[in-house]
Amino acid sequence: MSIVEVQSAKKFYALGKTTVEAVKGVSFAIEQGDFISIAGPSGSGKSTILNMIGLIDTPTDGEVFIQGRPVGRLRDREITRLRHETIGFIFQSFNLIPVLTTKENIEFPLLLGKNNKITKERRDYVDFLIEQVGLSDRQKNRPNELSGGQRQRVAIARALVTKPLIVLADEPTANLDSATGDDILALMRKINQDLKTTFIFSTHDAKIVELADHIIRLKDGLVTENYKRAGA
Amino acid sequence: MGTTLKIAVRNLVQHQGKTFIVGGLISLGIFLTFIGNSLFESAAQGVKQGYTTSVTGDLMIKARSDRPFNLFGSEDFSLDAADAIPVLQNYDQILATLRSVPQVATFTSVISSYANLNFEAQGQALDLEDMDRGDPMFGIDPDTYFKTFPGVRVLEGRLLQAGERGIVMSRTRLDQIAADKKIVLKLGDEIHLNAFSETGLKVRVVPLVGIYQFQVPNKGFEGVSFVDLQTLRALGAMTIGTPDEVKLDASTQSILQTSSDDFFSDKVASVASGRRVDFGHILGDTANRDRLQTIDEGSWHDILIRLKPDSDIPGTVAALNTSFEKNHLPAVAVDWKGAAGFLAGMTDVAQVLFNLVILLLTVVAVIIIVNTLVISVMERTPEIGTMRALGAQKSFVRRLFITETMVLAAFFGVLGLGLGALGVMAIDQLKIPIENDALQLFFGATDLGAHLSLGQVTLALFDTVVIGVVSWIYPVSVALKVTPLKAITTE
Repeated sequence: MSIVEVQSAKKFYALGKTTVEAVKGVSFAIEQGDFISIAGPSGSGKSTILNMIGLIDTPTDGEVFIQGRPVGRLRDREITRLRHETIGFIFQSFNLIPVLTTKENIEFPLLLGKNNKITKERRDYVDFLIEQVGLSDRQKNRPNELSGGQRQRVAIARALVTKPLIVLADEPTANLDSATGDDILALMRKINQDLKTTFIFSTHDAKIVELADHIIRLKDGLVTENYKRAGA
Repeated sequence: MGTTLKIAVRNLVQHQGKTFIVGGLISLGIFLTFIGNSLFESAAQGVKQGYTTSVTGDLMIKARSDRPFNLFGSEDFSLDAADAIPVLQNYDQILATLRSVPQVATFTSVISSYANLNFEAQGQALDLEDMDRGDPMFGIDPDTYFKTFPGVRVLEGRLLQAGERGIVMSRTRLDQIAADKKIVLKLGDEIHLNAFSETGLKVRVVPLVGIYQFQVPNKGFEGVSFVDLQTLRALGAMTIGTPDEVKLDASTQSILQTSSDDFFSDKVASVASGRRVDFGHILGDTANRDRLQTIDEGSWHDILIRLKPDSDIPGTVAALNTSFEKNHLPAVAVDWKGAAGFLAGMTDVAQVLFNLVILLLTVVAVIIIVNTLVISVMERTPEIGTMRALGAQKSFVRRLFITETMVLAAFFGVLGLGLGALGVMAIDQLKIPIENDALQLFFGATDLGAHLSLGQVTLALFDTVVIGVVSWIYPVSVALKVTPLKAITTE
């Protein structure tokens, strides 16, 4: 069973009196442990598809399945719970909570579900992630005291703290310098390999596309290419 | 510290500008409400203490009437003699009812009237400007009156004694006469009193036997003079004339309906010729008139009652009225405010107006607070959307904003309350003198007082909670509409 399946998904937006067809009917499947790149030029629909997979946007037509479960008819409360338990997000603009420190930002998703106690095991895992992203000496700093790369590392650790099956990363290197971008990608690749976490990137960064083992190319809201590299 | 409280407090600290605008409004509102209501409460207490210990007692019994009367007379300010206070009927039965009420500590009956002071004896011509309603005069039974009202302090001379003719006037009134008329009245001086009644002008002369001052001064009643009963009943034409309705025959009624002009026309039937009418006999016999003008020594206007400490005034009033109804007695009991009239209720009216103004200001303040919080929510759209994307349910977002608003309201509300309490204590310590007569009347005191009361503290805290709750409703609804998608699309 695919961990994510998109079936004939369409997404239309009303823009004044006209309708913009962001996604015109795409279908694909993603397997557990994939390091997948959804690539394409600006306006091709990659962010929209990522949002639909991440359950923060709904298709106008078609269906998205997470672990074989159709999500179209779920209520807000169920969608939120599914998102919390299954998906981690790495946003292009980091989207850290400004009043929380590095450690508190990483811990934050743990405080949201029904099981919201910070146990020793969870605390140890938070410390492990902080160490993995190289922010041990920045634990008590707030986002405005961190560099762009450090913020992105916090966002990665936060995305992983609930041990999600899927991590969605929207242009994760877009706001980073080249060296920091390389470091971040290496880190995500390592986590993908170590924890079998599925990483889905929306990007037009050639480096990410090169690194991915499953590539979906989009153009004008349609899939133009969908392939896995040999050995993936 | 819980996550929501931590985020709420840090957000308030982070957005200091907005926090101080919103918090400042809350503090100012609570401060003004607290100070204002403490002043009004002090004023209300002063007015109540003044009236109840000096003139009205805790409650009063008066004759039942269709027209509004209080201890000082008609409440419609009419100069018409017909508006004289109605006399209590079935007085003995009323007293019997009163004596059966266990809450009653002491009571006294009074005649209340008005008389003009005539200074012709002091060489001053009658001034038409003086012919207004006159000075308030209480005809009293000294034995019971001064037991019921121990707040009357003798400055010179003595209080009236049982059976003694005379007048006791207040220092305030005598000072006023000295200032206005340049007449200094001394003990023993004869005071000429004029009063109009249903039976025409009455004049009585009484000696000034004492000068008094109320222990709790109040401009509303400081002009009252205490006069012996006989004098005041005479001035008020309180005679033994029967109140019974008389049936007149048709011919007598036709004479009464004849206008004075008709007496000089042919319309009035003339007396048959040859018949002699002895006008001298008819007009010369004044026995009936004299009998009807005998002072009615059993007539009273009001009974003033002091209750035992901590008695329930409204409950006692209700019990008395029930008893009067049951026994068909044409009397009605009213509390001290009903006895004192509109002047005593002025503080209450002003307090209601003040609180209406405060309520309006609160509405304006809440609108400003709501707008500020909504702007804050909009600015924090990415933050809220991110929380939702990471798995925060709407209930978490709602809790976060409620906590934030309540922390803000509680902190600044308590701050306003603290400042208000300091202000109240400062006002009470400073004893700022009140020079203005109207303000003295309003505050029921000669210096400004403000009392710190548990009721006011509770009210202020209640206001804080209400402001907090009302203020978060709309901003929270805006916050709940923020979707995770907005977190991504909003920079």
